[in-house]
Amino acid sequence: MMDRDRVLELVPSDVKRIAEDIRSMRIRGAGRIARAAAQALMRAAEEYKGSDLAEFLEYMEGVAQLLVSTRPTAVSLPNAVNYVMTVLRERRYQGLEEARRAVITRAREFIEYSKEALKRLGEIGARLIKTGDIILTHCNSSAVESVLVTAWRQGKRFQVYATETRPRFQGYITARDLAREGIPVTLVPDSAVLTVMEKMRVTKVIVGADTVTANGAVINKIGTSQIALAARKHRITFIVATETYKFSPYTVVGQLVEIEERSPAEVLEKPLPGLRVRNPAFDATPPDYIDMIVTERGIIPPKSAALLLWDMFRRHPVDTEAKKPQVEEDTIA
Amino acid sequence: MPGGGLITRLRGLGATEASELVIRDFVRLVEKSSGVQEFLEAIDYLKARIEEYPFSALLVNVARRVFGSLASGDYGSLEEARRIVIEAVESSLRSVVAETEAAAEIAARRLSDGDVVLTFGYSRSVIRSLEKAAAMGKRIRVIVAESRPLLDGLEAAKTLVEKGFDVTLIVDSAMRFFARSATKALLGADAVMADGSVVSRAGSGLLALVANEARVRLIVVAGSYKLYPETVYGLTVEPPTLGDEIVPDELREIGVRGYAPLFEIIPSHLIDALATERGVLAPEAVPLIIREIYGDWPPRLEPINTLVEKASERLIGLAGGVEKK
Repeated sequence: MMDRDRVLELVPSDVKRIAEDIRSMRIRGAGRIARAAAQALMRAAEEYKGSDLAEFLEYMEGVAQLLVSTRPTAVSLPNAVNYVMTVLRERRYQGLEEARRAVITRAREFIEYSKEALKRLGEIGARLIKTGDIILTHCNSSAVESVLVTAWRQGKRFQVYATETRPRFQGYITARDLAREGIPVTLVPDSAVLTVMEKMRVTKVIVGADTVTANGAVINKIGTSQIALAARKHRITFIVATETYKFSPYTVVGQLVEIEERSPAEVLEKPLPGLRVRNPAFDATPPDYIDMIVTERGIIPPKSAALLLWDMFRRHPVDTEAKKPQVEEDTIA
Repeated sequence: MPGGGLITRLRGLGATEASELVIRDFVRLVEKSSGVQEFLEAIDYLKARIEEYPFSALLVNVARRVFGSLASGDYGSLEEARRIVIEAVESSLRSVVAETEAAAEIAARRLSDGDVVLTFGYSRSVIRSLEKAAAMGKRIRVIVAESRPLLDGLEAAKTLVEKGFDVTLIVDSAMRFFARSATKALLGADAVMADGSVVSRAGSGLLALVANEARVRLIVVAGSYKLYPETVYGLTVEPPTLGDEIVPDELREIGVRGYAPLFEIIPSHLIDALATERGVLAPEAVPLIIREIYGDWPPRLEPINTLVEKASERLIGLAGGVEKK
């Protein structure tokens, strides 16, 4: 394979800038990262000045690696890159120009797809919502907002309870976005979900996902799994809404998802001598506690996650080179 | 909506401390009452606090004792009535301390060296249990959830750090995440109900659930003054809540509401043991303790309101006597 320096020599400056923006987290959110990576591959193909097909293929693999290495933990990034690179890896071309065009088309397709995905899953999810529903949600998810807003605009009338979502209060973003749509929304402390479910007669819980694993576990904001446990106790339907590019191919080959621990200062602003603070950002909700996962391709029971993963990656998930999958947060802010 | 005075006081206080403050206020009002009218106002104050904080078994039980002695006690003057009140309160509070200490001692025996204890909220009974376990030479680590909205867990964490414990603070959402690393769960109670369920701060039920799922034993530490005997006869109370005050201004302006229940009921099947001063028992065995205390099951109880009426009548009678002099 082409060495990194040679790739960097050939790669156009706007591709380098996108890579840098992903690395420095100027580009955030699973969807945006994925689209930016596809955009970068498209630009890299467009700007390739050489005339040798073999070199082009090596160069594109180099760019793909460069992009994936910027944020090795965000599963949407390799998913986007692999989606685009499939056309080269499966040799769906005959000459250089055809290969270049294939990459460009495929990248455009991905960008369009990812924009369309939110809308599609919103439409599918909205069909699950009924007038009179009392819905509990946790954290902030563009997929959940898409479902709720779509249902509301269809004239369905329901109420939403949004958890505050300590430590960073992303529930405030959800509350703001829904209130602006006119949806009645009430903030509740994370600790109150059990009582809220009972007293407010919650009918559905809907949350987003940061990563979906091969066995159907959902990695999402810390607190999701105990809400799922409480919902199960109350026999309340627990729905996860997410685009398919958050399904993690690494978990197909047995990788564990590492849960990131964030700064204690998020929990306790002023450190207290002698008091340890632990701040895991995500937790894993077992598939047993999840009734269904709503994706842009349709609804699946969580344990069928492998179906989508095998399908998406044609049973060749990815090269398994020591990539440690972590979680990229799907929050709008 | 309930709220205001007493609820603000609950911030960073355990159930017992908050109730004690109210009782002390009541005693002060009684002490400085210059006539029957002010004495009756003091009684009204205590009654109103019970309505505001209906889950405080301590408050109810002390009030029952105070009103009971005023209704049927032996006194002939306002001065004697004052003394009767103060005696009833002092002896109640003394037994609260004694019962808490004894219950904590028993809970401490249930802890083992090396235990990691998960807890929620602030409970003096829990803190005393941990201290006593430490005094027995057991090394205990504690994981405390911050316990929003009142953040009383943070208070508990600070207190435990001062007492030299190895303490880890987590957000309430992380309770399930850490349940697996815990070996015991410990909670205090605001009230123990007739069916063996326990009223505690909102969030305690979630702790009970995650502990149960992780097969971590949950012990509730409660002296028998936490028993709420009226519940034998079906008394149910609406728990106080916070509302829109938990919502930031800019969200309130666009119509976002708030709801924060302050208490919740932990069903008895999620509690492995109730540690009381009389011994460890299954929460479902609560009728046994009621029989021990009241000499009978079901307990013979006069409704608090009846006691208040009787007490008021006698005090007013006293005023009549004073006027005759």
